[in-house]
Amino acid sequence: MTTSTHVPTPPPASTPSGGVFYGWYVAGALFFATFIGVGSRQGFGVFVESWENDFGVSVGTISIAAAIGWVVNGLSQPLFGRLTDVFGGRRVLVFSMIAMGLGTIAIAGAQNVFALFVLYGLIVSAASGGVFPTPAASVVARWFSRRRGAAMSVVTSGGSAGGILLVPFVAYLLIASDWRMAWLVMGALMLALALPLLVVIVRSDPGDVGMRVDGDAAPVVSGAGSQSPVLERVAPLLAQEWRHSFRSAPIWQLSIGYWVCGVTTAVASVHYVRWAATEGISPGTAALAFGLLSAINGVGLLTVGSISDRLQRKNLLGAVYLVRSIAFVMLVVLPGVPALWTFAVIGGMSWLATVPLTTSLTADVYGLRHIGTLNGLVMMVHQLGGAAAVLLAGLAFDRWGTYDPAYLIAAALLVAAGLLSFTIREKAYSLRYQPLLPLLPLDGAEGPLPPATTTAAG
Amino acid sequence: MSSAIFRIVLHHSESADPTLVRWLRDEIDHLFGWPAEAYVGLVGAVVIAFPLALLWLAWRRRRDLVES
Repeated sequence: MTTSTHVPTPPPASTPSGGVFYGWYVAGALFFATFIGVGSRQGFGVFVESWENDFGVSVGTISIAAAIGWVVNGLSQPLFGRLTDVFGGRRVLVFSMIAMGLGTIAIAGAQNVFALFVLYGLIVSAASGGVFPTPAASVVARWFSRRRGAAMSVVTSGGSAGGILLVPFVAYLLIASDWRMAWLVMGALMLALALPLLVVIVRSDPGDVGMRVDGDAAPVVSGAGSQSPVLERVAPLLAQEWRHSFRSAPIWQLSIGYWVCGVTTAVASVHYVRWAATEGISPGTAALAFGLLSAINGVGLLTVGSISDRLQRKNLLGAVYLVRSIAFVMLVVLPGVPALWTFAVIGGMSWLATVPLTTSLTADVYGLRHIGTLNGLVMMVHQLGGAAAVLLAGLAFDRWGTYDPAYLIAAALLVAAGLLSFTIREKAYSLRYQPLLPLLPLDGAEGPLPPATTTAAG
Repeated sequence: MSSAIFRIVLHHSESADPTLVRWLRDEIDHLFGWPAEAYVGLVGAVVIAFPLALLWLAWRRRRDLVES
């Protein structure tokens, strides 16, 4: 197969018949589902003091629920990814939102910390994995091709918005009522608002409502006559079995990079306030800096996602990792307060920007057949890397009394991840750069032609 | 030791850091001086309005698509 020099150009937001492409409504619904799902989980810390008092247990005991939830959420990603590939994203999203809503309401009735382990650690955390990011990203990948990066960034930004808006909302709800009412309200929001959005608006595939990806009017036909084949781009590494994808290089390059992403975001977000304390910075100032990081992150996320539809995503991904490495170096070489603000600005630009780039690139390179499973596996690597890194960084601090070694290792890993991303042969393997090829005769049988054989990619 | 490890995980995983949340709440109080109920009502209205508006717009869009 020859490599095309085609440069992707995003289509307009509207469809040929006018009006906004329906895929953007799907992205909007997934944004809200992510907003509720991620935001409610991020609010966990708000309730710790209430549970300490009501259940008569220590913070350490309550945090077991969070720890279980972290691991369960990570491990559930490949499972929900596989279910998405088999049953379609809509079913997985709907059932997961029902489970998450009911589990959240059930937390309102928890009588002891063990109920919290089961309801939050197992049920809600697993169900949230059935919403974001794997199933949501897989649905977006099916609706969008040329504006995949922009759509992915819109959905991902729901997580940022949830953290910024929903966490204070929950905190005030706690003040205005009590923790049981707060969880009840969150569960009601899931079932009464997010669930109808998913049921009414979201479809697993544009074909379910008679549309085509990107809102294209009709397939390109190479000539007149009923025997003329439909022309489509085919992902060169599209595999019959998802596990065959791991015989090629890009999935490893993306996974290793994403592992580094998980490691570095976890290390920074966990230890930021504590690091600030070691530098003599007040928690309030550290919190303000982290708030700035979150705000810049939202802007950076949407910008990078949109730009990635016009450029090679792997170059942006590599740049994001390198920019983040600079932020970590600044934490070590600059004195306290300048380091704090420099990290907030530089780090904020790169914080969640890896998510739309990685998920879009995975879909571009491996096609849609196993996109849920592959995204889920890559996400699991991210989560488990983060969990391990948090523990190791904490232990390193206890050993040396400084975060400098952990931050320097993080910077080195990010440089490696950046360079690794640059080596992804996107033009050779991404669907976006492939020439149009005859795929199906118009009157032929349904179903795709056998895919190109997966080969070891360099 | 195990307690320290879990505390680290809690601090990271999912959760808004209680220190950050407390600070954020103080800042909002300082800036607006509203009671908690007012903030809940305002943000709650935004949270409810977005999906309702999206549902209405999507319904209109699908109706237009069917008619065309």
